[in-house]
Amino acid sequence: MQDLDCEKFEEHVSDYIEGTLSPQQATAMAEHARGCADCRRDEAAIRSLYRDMSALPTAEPPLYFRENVIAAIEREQQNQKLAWWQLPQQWTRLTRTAVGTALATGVVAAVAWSVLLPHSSQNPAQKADVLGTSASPTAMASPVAVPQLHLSRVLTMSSTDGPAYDIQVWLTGADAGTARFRVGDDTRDYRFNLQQNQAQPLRVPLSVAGGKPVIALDVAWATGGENHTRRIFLPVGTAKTLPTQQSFGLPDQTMAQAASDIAQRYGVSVTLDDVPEKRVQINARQETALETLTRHFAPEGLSVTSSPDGIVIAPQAQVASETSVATPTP
Amino acid sequence: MAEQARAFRERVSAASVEEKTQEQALIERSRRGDVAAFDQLVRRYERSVFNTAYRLSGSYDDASDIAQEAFVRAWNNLKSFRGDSAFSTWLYRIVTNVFLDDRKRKKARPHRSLEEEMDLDESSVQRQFQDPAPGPSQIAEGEERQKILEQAIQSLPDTQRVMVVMYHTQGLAYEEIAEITNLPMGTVKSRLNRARLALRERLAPLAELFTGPESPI
Repeated sequence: MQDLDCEKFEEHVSDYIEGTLSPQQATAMAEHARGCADCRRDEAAIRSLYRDMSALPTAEPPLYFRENVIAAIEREQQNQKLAWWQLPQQWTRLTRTAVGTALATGVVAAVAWSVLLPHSSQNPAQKADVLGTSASPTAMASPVAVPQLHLSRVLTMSSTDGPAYDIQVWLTGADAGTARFRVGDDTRDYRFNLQQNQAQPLRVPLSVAGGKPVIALDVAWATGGENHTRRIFLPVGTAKTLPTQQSFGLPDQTMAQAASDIAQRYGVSVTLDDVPEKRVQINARQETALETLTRHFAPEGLSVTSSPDGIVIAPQAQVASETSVATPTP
Repeated sequence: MAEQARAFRERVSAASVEEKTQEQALIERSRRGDVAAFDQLVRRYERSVFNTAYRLSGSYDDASDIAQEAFVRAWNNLKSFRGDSAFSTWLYRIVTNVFLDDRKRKKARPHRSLEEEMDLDESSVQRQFQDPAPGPSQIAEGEERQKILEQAIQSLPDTQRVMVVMYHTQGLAYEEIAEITNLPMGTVKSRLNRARLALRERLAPLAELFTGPESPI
């Protein structure tokens, strides 16, 4: 655009502000603005308009808005004479609240479980209200003999004490055990007596988790006279599709920091099982989390295994058992 | 912004597969008369629909009526939702139409209002309503600017107002607004640009009040 005049400037000012002009056009606009006080003022005012508009508050619908909508719809339906074969609809209407609630909580739980436990039954109707119970799919016989502590994916829950992360914890391969969790830098202890295949909720208030994208848990758990400690890095958030193969380079950092980074990038939980603390520098070249961690740690005498619980890094002598797809009973 | 276009495409094409399937199921069930399923859809969209209605009408009460009517219309017309646009786009189109119908109804009635009646055709002359500009000493800058901005939006002709609300308060991309208004994207862009210039005109004298020396009004 040569010899840009004020009219043309005005015509293109939005595109200019939004950055969708070509470099030549943008330069021409900038040059005109440099020499024209009116257009300069216009541009500044419109930039401020964009800002002011996006700062306008969102209006909340009034209380019972939704209920009123449904009532209006039902009035409409009543106006149309319902034939006897449409009775099931009426039944649905009467129980809509119950169904609505179950659907809201049930589907969320179904998504979480089905991600972790591919062999489990996925009928949402089976799921009880997740809040406060160990809702889960039907148990499967597990061939695993080695005791394992499992954590589910993190769900955000609203509880009476405020928003919290809900993590289900359960034990397999042993009749009973105990576990103690610490979250991040918090000194609070979460203690559980665990029984085989029975999930219990570890509910971490959001304030404790510190609003970070990864929850770092320190676990000390014991069963059958054996003590284990591990650090688990759980990514927060729904099962979004993060790329399984990635390329990046991380700075020199501690094992814990690297594990946390990997957990966040890949959306997979990473567990460090009795792994000595040392500094590492991780990079990835179009690799999965498992591939890059194996490449870095296998030569150091560490085993890196992948399971529905996420990735576990442990000294090679204590190789974790194969994928234990056992699930707790409701 | 380019980001909004990207966000729109992402939202339409790659919104989490689970979410889309879930919503599809709700729509299917609603189509078959399942009010509980429709209740879930209302839950999902009531905020957006209500806020759109509020920003378009400028009145909380009108917004309530418009938004409710929009959902009832959606319910009644589910059979004609073919899924070639996103459900949210379809809903936005409905609330826009309810708003425009409401405007037509109000114009048909002899109606005294502070605003001069606007023509749907924006090339017609419009007289703007003069608000008594507050003296500088009374201005709580942020709040007043907001109120003045809201009034300025209300003074826009209907189509421009729809576009401004969709773009700036609902965060929709040009592509989606083009779908909602059934206009070519170029037209949407140029009308929105014109709307912004009109708003800027409206706010200009007041901007000086904030930055310039005190002047008697």
